[in-house]
Amino acid sequence: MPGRSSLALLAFLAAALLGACGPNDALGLTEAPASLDPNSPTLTAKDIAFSATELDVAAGAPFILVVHNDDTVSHNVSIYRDGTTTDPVFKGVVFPGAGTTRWYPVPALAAGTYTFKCDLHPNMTGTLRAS
Amino acid sequence: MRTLRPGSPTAILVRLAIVTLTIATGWIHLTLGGLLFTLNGAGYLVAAVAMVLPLALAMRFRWLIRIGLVGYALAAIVGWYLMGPRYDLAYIAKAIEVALIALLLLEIRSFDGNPITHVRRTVTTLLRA
Repeated sequence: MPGRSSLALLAFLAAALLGACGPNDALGLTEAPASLDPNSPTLTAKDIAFSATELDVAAGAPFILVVHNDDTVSHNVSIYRDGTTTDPVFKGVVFPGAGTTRWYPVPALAAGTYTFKCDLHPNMTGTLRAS
Repeated sequence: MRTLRPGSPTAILVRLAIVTLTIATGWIHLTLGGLLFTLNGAGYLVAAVAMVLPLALAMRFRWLIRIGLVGYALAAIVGWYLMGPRYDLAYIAKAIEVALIALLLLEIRSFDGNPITHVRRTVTTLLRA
């Protein structure tokens, strides 16, 4: 019966949507922390591109990733274990543009090469080296 | 699930809601920037126009437009579920798309019946032409 199958589809969609609405674990400070290192890694988003495609950080120590959004659209930065971008080690909160900044508290990373990207715009990607 | 009567105030309201929801999710996608979102948003806007276009061809194939829009919204939801970011605007867009699918299914049930019958009829007409 079309009625039953339609209802079943809707129930499935609603359940899937609710299931996807888990706790938002993305992080991002709206104000610079008092202890901010002036040499903190920094990215600027503009014209759907990042200002840098390579970042270097110290391994084994948490750091603040400063992200300026000078674009007209929202962006974020997440860090993934590798180029497949399926295993995140840090997820940054999505935030609107027009000259706003977020300070991402990234936990300590083991030495290695990671991939960072904007989760909204897959072409905005780069390499982060922890050493 | 109740059915709609063509031309009834409820049917007009449902069509208005479909167009509004389609434009709303299209607009959200257009504001996200990037080629994929822009194309997705433009697709929704084209579908919104096609849902109310008073042309004989559009009216004849409105059943196909409805099914296409259900598939389009389903693809957007699945795509987001698999790789989209989880944040407030995304949840709003997906809730809009679920509501849109619900209203489209109501129209399909009320006006179109079994889509396979339409496909058969269209193919037969094309073959005869």
